[in-house]
Amino acid sequence: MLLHDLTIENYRSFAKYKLSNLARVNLLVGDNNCGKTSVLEAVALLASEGDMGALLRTLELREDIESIPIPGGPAYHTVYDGRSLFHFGEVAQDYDELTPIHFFSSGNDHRNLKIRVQAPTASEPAELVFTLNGSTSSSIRMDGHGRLVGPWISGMRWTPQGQESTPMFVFVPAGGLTSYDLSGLWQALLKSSREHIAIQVMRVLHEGITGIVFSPATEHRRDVLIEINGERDTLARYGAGTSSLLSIAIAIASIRNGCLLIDEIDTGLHYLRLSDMWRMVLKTAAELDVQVFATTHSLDCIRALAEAVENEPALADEVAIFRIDRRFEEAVHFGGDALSVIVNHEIEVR
Amino acid sequence: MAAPPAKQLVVEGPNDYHAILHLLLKSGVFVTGLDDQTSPLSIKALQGKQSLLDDMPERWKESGRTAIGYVLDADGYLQNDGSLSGDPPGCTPTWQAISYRFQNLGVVDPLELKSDGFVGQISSNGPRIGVWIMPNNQAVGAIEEFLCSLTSPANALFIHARHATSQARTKHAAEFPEAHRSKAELACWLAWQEEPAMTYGQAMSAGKFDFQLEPANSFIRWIRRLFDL
Repeated sequence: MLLHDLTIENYRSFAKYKLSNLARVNLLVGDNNCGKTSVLEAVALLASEGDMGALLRTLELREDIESIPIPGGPAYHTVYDGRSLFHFGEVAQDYDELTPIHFFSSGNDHRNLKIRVQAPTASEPAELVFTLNGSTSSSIRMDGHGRLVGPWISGMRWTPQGQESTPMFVFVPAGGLTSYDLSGLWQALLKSSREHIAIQVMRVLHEGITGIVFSPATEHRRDVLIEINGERDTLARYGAGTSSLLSIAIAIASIRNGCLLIDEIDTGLHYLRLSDMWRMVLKTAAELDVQVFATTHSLDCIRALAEAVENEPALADEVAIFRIDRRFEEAVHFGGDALSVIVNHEIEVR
Repeated sequence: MAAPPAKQLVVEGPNDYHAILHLLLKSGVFVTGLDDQTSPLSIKALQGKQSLLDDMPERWKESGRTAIGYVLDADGYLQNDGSLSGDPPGCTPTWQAISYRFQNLGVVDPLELKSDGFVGQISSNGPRIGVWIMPNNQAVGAIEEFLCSLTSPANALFIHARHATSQARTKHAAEFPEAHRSKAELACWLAWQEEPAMTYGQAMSAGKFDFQLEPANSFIRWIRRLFDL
């Protein structure tokens, strides 16, 4: 899958918004609360082909969840706020005021995903319905408060990461995936003998890295061992940059023909490492046919991307920067071929 | 760190920067004592004509931009043999190189360069974009020809500098290229001021140029029209 463009309608803060001329690797910039993460979510939902699990995953990453105690017991239901997905959803008085969400892309691999609310009937509760390319792909129950409820087991959180051997997308939040999520993805990499790809990416930070070991039932960083020049030490002893890069490394190696979404890609990484990080991301994304959408606030991160392209000019077509600004209907596009002018002329893309 | 300025003028280099800055101060477009944040217009110096042509497709996209202007020279690059070449020498070829870029940017106004400069708009709701090709949107030349046109015809010292420059070439084989004659004349004249070898900016600031002559007025009118000042 390679999206050439993306249109978002009625999703969160966007009434209608378009990104044109998407590249293999897309860096999203813009002010706080401009909607960068919403764009990542839209790509994830489109990439997931209308999988309800993807939607719940995005809500979980936002921690837009609520625990409702079940009467008479210690157990509780986890519910997700469904109304906040819709543009002006928080002020909607009734189901029919929730204007359907629409994501679509044109081109060879065009996709069309609609998310609408099916109002309740006398016998059926309200439902959030996903329609992909015209056919219903999944649905989920919605209560009278607009909350998404069930059918998952009481108290269990929805964590689909790592459950599939090659996920269609992985969403890496700022600061990285949880050790639990990483462990799931790592098991899948081991099964498909692709762990060497992740190790290769990790060499950006640790040249001598030879192995990564996840203990069974990994929950914390101390359950992850990094082997450098034959010495093993737990991930907990390394800095935030190593954890962040491990998320990127494992995520990109896991996906085939899908999308990698990375919120704040430069988190924890020294500026001198960023260019190598981009080089590895660009190379690996091309090899595995992965489309990357990442966000940043960092000028160093943009400069490093320019440096990676300058060292390998053939990559210029593989890169684009987009400034997200809700005041306009379309994201401002900077092509990879303009990166050297942007950096040398000190043009502010953010 | 500051947000990008809403209004920005882009020029070919530091000499142009200082000459234009002091012309704007003299003409009352700027008042003294303003800094980058309070100035109604920011001026950015790049490095030569090609860098401005490369800049045009990108800089207008900066956040909050309402107007952007480019001041280019109508001359070309100086080659080893003293002739001008490379990216387009002459006003018309320079304008053609610009209008090709403007067409790609979706400038909605007719792409015609008149003697009072170009002012257009990128798409129906984009920023205004303008061009002034030195010296006067018609002749071949550079900012030096523009500055020479701001000397009074009665300026005896400048007339002498012109004469001396010619003599230097004909009698003493001075090697300045013919295409840069105005630059040589200007340098000669500025060498003889109370502070020898004044820069263009210093000379403008010291009142050596007459900013009330028509060439300066025409440029200032373009600035005011483009930037709404």
